[in-house]
Amino acid sequence: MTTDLSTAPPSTGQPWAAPEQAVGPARAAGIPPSLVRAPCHLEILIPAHNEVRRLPRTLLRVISYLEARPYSSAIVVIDNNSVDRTVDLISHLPSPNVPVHLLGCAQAGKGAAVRRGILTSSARFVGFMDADLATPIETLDMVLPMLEAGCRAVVGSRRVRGATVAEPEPRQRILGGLLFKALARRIVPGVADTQCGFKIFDGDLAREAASQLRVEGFAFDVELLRTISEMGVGVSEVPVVWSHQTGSTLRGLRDGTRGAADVLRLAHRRGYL
Amino acid sequence: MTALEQLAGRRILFLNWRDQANPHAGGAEAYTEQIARRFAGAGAQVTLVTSAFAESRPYDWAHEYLVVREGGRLGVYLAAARHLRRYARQYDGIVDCQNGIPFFAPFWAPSASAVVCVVHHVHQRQFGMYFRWPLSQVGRMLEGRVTRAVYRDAPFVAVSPSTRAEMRHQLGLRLPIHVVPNGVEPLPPSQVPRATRPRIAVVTRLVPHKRLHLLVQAVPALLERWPDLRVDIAGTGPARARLMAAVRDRGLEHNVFLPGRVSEQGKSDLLSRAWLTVAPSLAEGWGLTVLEANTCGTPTVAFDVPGLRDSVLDGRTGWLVPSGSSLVTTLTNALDLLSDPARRQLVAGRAKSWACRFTWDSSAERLARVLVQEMTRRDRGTPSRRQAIDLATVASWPPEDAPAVQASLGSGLRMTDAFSAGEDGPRVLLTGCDEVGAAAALQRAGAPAAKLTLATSTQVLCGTGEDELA
Repeated sequence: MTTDLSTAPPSTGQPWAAPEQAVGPARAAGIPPSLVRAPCHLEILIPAHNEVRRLPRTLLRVISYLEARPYSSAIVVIDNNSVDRTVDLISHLPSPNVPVHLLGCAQAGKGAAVRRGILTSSARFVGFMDADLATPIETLDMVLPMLEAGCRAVVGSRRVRGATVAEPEPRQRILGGLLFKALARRIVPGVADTQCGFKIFDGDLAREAASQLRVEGFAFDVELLRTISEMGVGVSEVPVVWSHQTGSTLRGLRDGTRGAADVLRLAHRRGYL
Repeated sequence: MTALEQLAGRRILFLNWRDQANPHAGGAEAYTEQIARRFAGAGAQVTLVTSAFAESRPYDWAHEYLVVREGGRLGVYLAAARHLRRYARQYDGIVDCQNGIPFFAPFWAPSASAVVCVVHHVHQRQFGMYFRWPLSQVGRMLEGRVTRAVYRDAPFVAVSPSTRAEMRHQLGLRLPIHVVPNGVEPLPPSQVPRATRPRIAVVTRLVPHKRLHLLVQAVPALLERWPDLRVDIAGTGPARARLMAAVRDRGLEHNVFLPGRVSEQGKSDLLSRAWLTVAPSLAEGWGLTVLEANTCGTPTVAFDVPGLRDSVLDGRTGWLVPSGSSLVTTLTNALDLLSDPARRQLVAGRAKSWACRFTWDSSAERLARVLVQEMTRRDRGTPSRRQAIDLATVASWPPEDAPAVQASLGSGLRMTDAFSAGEDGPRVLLTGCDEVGAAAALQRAGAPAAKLTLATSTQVLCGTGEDELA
């Protein structure tokens, strides 16, 4: 568990052999092995759909945080079919020590984007966070030692002791979330908050789980956690300091309906309905 | 075989509300004219249906294609509808150019022929400036909601990535949108050498939304540093009187000149002598003045706004003023850099090679590809993709793979994918797919494994996988 990857090859587009345990799930999902990135200690995935306004600040914060850490790390922005200039943004970022990769995902939905990001990763730990930085990156201070100590799935939570919600969600979202939460709690018992967009996993575990995922929308969190617990792995929750950010690209009715349908389908598949 | 060659013998209808002979013709008319002429030159039978103007002839063969003029500013939409009802079946392809309101060709000519809708600029915000409620609201609905309903499976063409983004955000279009930019006609060559003292030149129509008063306002601050700065703002238009007053009020008569209308040669001389041109507009569909200056080797300072952020490569062919920053700061930095003659020469070279990328020949070919692809799709009866993908992927190979790539890609690619063979190896720009989609397409074509990267908006604009200017 303590392989030192701090001397991992820098990813400069030069050919290198991806480890088989990373390429296997990618190939199974139809992803060419050349898209699998070089290994590192920690990889942070940031799915982005038209986030050119909010992403620069987030990236600069995450880069400056990761540059000050002793371990090797990388950031992967997954462009989820943006029409704005997300691609251009990444190519102009000043980041000498922490590589910022860019990956496309034409399939719409956060689930599809995160899945693509996990399946192309060969990092020891891989996780994802929101482009709006609703959960501060400093949460990693708490999460990484837990992973290194043997926890294989650590997720941020707004509903455990110690969490603070700096700015609450708008009311309509709270209402819309009630049904969702009730169902999610039945599907993944023991996890108080499935939807906080900050989750870090053991790389091999995430790759294995991701290759089984089907949900493309935001309800994929529920499916991912359910799959992980079915694999016999416990999910640890850590309290986060969460602040609701405006400018979300989530659209109330359409995405909400899709999320509800996804979670109903999940519940049905597991025999809860 | 190029797409233009495939248009030979085909009957193509262009719809545009004005034609190039119209005294009010602008950039959109140049686009239609240049492309229609090249379609006709390639052997297509081209007809342009457009509006009449004072003393215009109802039919015109002055160009290499037939121009049919009927109806006025709004009547042309009815005339075009009548024309489509009557003759749509005689056309193989229709290029429907919208100027705020499209001609709704798929509605008047259902199932008859392939329709491609060209959008220069999104007008949602302008309807309020030119029409009062409820007409402004009707305009917005026609451009947005009604367009979405009528053009259910027709491909769209945007003139720049910025316009494409506005079509997605403001019009809510979900259909595939291809990018086919404007070309730029080279100005007559100028023998005038670049000035040794700082000079700024702008040649444009002087209308309020070009915001040239911002340039005049910046001059006093610039004079502190460059007392011998000279600014020429050429062209005529409704904003000229106010600009002259602004110059007088600030006592800038010895530094800022407004020579009025200049000839093409005069334009070329002014721009060739200048260190810089400035485009302070709030938004453009496409910065034509920027590219014209670039043909003379003159870089641009512009705001980081839609359209201009496509035509100016920040730090290479000009400088963009970041939002929230002042024009003076960017102008000062730019003039500082350009005060080094070697630097001026370097930037001039880049600006020229950037402008060279935009020719009407390549625009006509790119529009022809979209049209031919749509005609083929309709002939085969395959449904169009329901969800459009705005990502594009560049596949590149080492030079030694070139023969294998060329052999495999002969027929395996879609019409709109662009192949180029540079010194650093062959490249293909595959539009409308991410890396995984591109890998699958290339594998089907039998191409060797490629390095895959997402295309930048500059690559999408130029329609090639080549790198941006170094």
